[in-house]
Amino acid sequence: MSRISNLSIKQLSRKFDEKLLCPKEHTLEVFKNIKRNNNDINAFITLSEEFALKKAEESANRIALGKKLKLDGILVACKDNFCTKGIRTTCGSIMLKNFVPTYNATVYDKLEKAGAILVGKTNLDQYGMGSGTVDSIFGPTKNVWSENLNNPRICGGSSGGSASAVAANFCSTALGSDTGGSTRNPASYSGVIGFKPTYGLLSRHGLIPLVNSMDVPGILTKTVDDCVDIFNTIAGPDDLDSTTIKKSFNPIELSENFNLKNVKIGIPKEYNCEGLTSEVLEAWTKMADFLEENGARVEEISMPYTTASIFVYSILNQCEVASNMARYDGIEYGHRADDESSTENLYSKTRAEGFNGVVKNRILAGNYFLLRKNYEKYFLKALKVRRLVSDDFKKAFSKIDLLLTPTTLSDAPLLSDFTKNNNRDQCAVQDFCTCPANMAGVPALSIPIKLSSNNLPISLQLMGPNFSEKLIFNTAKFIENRVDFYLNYNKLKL
Amino acid sequence: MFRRNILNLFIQRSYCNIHNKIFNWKELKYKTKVPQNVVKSIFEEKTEKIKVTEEEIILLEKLSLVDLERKEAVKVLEDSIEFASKIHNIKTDQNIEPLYTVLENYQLKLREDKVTDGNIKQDVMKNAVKTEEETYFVSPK
Repeated sequence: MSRISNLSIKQLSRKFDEKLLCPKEHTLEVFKNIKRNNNDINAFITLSEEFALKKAEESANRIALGKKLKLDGILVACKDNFCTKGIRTTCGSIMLKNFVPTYNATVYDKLEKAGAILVGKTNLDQYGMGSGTVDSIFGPTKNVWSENLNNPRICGGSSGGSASAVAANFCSTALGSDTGGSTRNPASYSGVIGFKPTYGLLSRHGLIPLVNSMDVPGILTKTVDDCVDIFNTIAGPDDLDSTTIKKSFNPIELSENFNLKNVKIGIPKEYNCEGLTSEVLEAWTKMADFLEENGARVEEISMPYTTASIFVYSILNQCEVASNMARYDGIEYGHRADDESSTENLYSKTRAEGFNGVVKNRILAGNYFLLRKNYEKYFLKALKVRRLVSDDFKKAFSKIDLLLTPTTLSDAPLLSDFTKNNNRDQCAVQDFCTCPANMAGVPALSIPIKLSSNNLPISLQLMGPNFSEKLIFNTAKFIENRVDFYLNYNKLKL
Repeated sequence: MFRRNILNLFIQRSYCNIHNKIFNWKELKYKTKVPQNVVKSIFEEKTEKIKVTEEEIILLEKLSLVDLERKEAVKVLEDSIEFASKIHNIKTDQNIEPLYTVLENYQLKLREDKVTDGNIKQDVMKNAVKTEEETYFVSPK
């Protein structure tokens, strides 16, 4: 593999500027790597090589003319639930197996307009309903850190293909989506940065909806700097998504001499829950100590409704899914069953063939909670408890600036162990630390910290109040500089 | 080996950071603020036994346009509802307002009621499996 593909976005960009590297050469090199290694981990559903080479040519031309765009020559991947014009977008499902969007999702469009080159569409649990990237019709994605790819580790999910693609240097950055932790969870298991922004800062237009009131696009990168560069490129209001915040977005610049003095960091005790492994606890403990040593004020706090999140999530997710999935009837787009006996039969058969068991169960459960007799008992109840979860954050952030917690409870489980549990239990364990942020809409970032005794990544999560991205990034970079995850890996002399 | 290749990449990247000392994971400078034992949930774990009736199944199948083909599917559904029912262990006072959207304090943008696109018939029809003269969607007769 080429060393170049491992450079940061800024370093790559400088190489293009100095004509030490050409986008075409870079793209070809990375596709060589992808072709050699993607079969092993299955990060991609669709590769867009021809399109990428055309875009690389355009980048090269702009550079030659001295009209380089900010992300010219930078390779990106998109989770396969973001619409990409002319490139099929499947959601990992039979239903959309042959769906070719006629427009771009706004966040991807902004990357393309900034010169970025799409290498392909990445694997996911069907419609993003999962936390392992094991439920796609295109097969599971394997974790690049697996000791043995014949008995692989899961890469986390549902944006597992995106996390794996970044970890394997198939691209500089990948877009994921995050409804209950789907960007941060695979980032944690794959040893990359996974960022969920404040709800409303990134447009959802063209992101195939799962749970509209929680979905946000997420960003996966190897470094904090890269994450900031991508975030600055794609954030801001969008006329095509009325749930974006109207206020114009000011790009974030990281502070040169950031220090933690005056930063108050809360340790919510409820995140030490059943199933948290001693190694994650140790990393969490040490990192809290390290931040304190560097001037932060660290204190234990209580967020008692943390454990309630998962129940709120299970109800609201299924209700919104039931509503969102109503659009798939086989008539306008997507899979159409071969049954012309009646419209109703066509609908039913199309949906029977197009959805997997997980999707069907969520639709049925959602409709159960929405039945007139259950509406108040389940749906309104969940919305009220959601208020309590959200108030926990409000109260916490009236006293402290950031929260430090685990992202996942352990290092990456073996695929064979993970699939012994059903989808619901998988998600209940996997989303424990990540899903509260989606309830409240607040920004959160997962950062790799160290390796476990299995030589797998262990990550922690930073959360802050709405629009506190700058403080989160600054603090994450402070941690990144000091723990140097990659150097740490080097020292193992594997 | 693939893992080895990826390893090499990480190692290459780290050259520029070689000045960094290894992080000392063992030593703590302060009395830790991180709870070292599991903090139990303050809510009861009581579950309601849920049985979905035959009529409910028929209704749900009709509303969902999804069939509960097998016995196991009914079991999975009941299991999902039972899990969700644990929410009733959490007290919510009368005065708690439901949180529909985290943007409840923002005025969201509404666009003017004007046509902003058009002449995209081909695009609209493109993903339909069956069309009539490439102009109409087709449902069973």
